[in-house]
Amino acid sequence: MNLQVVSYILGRLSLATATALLFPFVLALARTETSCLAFAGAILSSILLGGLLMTSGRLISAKLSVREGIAITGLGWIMVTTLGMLPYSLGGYLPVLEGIFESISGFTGTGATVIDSIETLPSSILLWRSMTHWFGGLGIVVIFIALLPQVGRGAVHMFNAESTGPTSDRVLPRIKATALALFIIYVVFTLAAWIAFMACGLDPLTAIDHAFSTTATGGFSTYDTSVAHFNNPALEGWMTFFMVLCGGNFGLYFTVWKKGPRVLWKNSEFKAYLVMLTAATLLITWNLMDGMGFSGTESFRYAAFQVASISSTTGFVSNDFDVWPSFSKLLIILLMFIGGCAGSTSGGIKVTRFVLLFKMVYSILWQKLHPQMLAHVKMNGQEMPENVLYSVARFFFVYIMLCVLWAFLMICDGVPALAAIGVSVSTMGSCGPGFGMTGATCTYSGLPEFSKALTCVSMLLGRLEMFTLLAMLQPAFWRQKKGW
Amino acid sequence: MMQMPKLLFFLLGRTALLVGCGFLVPLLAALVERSPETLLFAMAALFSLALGILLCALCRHHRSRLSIREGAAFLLLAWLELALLGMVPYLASGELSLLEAFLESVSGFTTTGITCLRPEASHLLVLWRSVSQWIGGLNILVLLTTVLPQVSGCFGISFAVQKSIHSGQLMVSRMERTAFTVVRIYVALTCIGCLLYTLGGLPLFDAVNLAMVTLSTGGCYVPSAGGLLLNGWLIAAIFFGMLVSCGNFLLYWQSVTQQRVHQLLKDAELRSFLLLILGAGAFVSWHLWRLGIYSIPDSLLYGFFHVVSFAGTTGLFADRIADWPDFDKFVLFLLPFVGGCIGSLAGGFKMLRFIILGKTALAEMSRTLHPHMVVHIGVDGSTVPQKIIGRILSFFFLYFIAFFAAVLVISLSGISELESMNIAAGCLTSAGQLSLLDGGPETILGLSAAAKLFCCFLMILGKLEIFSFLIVLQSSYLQLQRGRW
Repeated sequence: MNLQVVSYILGRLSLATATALLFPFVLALARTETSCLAFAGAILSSILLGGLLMTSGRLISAKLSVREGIAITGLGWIMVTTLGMLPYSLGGYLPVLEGIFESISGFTGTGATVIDSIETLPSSILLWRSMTHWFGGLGIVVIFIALLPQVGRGAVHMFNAESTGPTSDRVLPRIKATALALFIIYVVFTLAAWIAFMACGLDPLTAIDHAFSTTATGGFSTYDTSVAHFNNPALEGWMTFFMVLCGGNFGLYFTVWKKGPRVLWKNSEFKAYLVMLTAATLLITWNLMDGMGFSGTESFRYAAFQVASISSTTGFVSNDFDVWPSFSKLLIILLMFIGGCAGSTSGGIKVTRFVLLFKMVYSILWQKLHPQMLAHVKMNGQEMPENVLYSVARFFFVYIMLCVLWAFLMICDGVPALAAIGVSVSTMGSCGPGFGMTGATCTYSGLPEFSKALTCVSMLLGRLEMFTLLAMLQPAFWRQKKGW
Repeated sequence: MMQMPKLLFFLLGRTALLVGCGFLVPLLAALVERSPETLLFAMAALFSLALGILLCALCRHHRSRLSIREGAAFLLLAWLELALLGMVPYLASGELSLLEAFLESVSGFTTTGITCLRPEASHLLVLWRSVSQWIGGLNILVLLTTVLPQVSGCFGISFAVQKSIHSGQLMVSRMERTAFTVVRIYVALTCIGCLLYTLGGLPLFDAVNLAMVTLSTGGCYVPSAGGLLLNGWLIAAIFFGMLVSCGNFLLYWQSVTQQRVHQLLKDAELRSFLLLILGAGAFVSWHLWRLGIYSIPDSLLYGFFHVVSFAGTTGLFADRIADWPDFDKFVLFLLPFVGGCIGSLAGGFKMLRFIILGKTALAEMSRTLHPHMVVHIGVDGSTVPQKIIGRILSFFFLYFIAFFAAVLVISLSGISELESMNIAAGCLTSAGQLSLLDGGPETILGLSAAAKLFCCFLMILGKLEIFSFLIVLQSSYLQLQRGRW
């Protein structure tokens, strides 16, 4: 592996982080908040680290290989999340572990917080929290490729290592153009959400915080009680809309822009996504009317918001779902597993993988009953190759096994069973709220230290779809020479 | 016009004969004791035997091959038939209501081990419950060596038994031969178990019951005298009985017929299973001891006993496990999903499949670096074909979906999330005592009628390995579409 290129690009990424930190810094200066020193420190460290990495590495025009792509993306995420925690720790708002947790939770779009009283924090810190969502939502590397010139040939491997979904399809032939297109869509959505939230009566700063959080399907709010604080049906409606929107495939939206909205109805995944949302909303509405005694409209309002929030893995809460009947809670866990569409800002296993797996089971059934027939699995009219199917099924297996493993370790650490299951599923799917002690109205601050560290690993693995980070664990990965 | 599936009815007739023979055991006991229940069991036995003989006689002239559709239908119908015939004594004695009797019977035959019988129920009914678990185990073995490989064998069973059973069309003559051999081993093991338990100091009645429930992984029996852990000898015997029942019976058959018993320990699946039990047992014992729940010898004893009992989906328990810490309960909850070796009586996903999936997952890590690498997964020196790996992977998905759907449906009856997860896992993997992990026996008894019926369905679904049920569904849907029915 070519460590020099990796080091150089990581250096640039570090400088880019410093630039991002400027925004909350300026806000802190303008409002003369105490946090401005913390931000200054963070910016300085980022610049120093960036300079160091850039001088120690150099950009050779050699093509990046799969390994370097994975290394840049994996190490880049670890580096950026570490830099991102500096404002929290330097300002004395959070201890180191909690700071890292908050930062990883931000960048991965999880939205789980360890801060018990968010409202006492300065607005610049709150802005930075939401901004970490926004950068991590579409992907640090995607934004990096889109905005910065010339990162070397083979950026596609970096892109692939970060993108979500079974196949990373490019909407445009050039990777930079693809990244830019996705970024523009992302910015447009964010601006639209900002305007919509302001129209609902939020002040500009709160609106932009929530817009960042919504379009990145993150889930940080600037209030302890999350969206329930506003108790504003119009706002909840708009949020539901944007969360559902951002749980969809951004590449698909680009095609819609180019070819018209008919593309939407030809896309199996998008249809399955909408069907899933509708079904889950109706079931929960019925269950809430039955079990909680809410009126019909009230149940529908809470159910629709919560289903959108959980299935897009945002994690906003408009009603404490921890007291809902167990059927609704279990359905919420299932939605956390499934997550949004591939190529969106959401986490989870992704709808497209579930669709593929269902089709795969069906094709086995068909083949068994009609042994002479060839059973194909088709998606959007295209036949899926077998190795893609197998890798989807493998992904599913590893995902479930990791969830079980985290739950196992956390219960061993003393977390109650249901809470541990909730946390492991929720953080792997970068969703946020869990059940019980980490429930809708609680934070993660009550978890033991070891469990907190574990959730950090879980969030990173979940966001990068596991294999990017797992591949880096192999000794063979770091060998300098290529085997052949 | 569809041909009458005579073979199907012929096989069902045989199943009825099996139940009829099973009734003879409590009948004999009743005769010896001159108990008033003699008539009850005599009627039940007569009815089953008559039905069996009738079906066999009527469908004497059958084809000698079973198609996949018929095979799948047989799997489903056989369990239903067993359950319906087996519920007669519970119902006729007036101990249980219709639904409870059905649940009791299904849970017995599927070796799940959920019981609705009050502790003070007649001991002959208890005996029948143990016999039904034993017959259930027998039926699993017969199906495993005959129909199952053909119907859902694509999920690794064929791979595991390819050395002993040749795949292809099913011939009735071969079915008889294979089944007979495996059944002999089963009977022999039960006799040995019975002998050991008697030597361990249990009265004959208890020993017979216990042997039947341990060897069949049913696990629903509590000896009247002094619990399970009377002395070290008995504990070792029970331990051994539970372990044997989670091993691969086809492998036993092979090593007996080829006289190479030492080969047993060279089997990768059995080794990993033993390793799993060792690991989990040590973990649980350590945790129990650290939290100060038991002393060191006690925590080792209880830890290993329950780990073996739940990993083999037997579910015998020797202490109030509901009072255990969450961690140990979670381990006990996870273990039935592994559920013994392929080709054993235990339910669950099976060890071999987990080994194969684990190996593929590890291989996927290096495949991320070398996307075009060709990976071979080997078990016991033979390469697992890519196709089988793919199918086991989709089976895992199927299992997960079935489990989660089951949890959702059960949670509708208003019990807590953990309770519904326990019940669903218990029914699906046939380790029914999982329902006792949170709450007690009243959790199951308190379910609504619909939920109880659903539990019965789940237990059968678990025994059909889900896929066979899908085949039945799909083929009957196709028939319906063509208007043949």
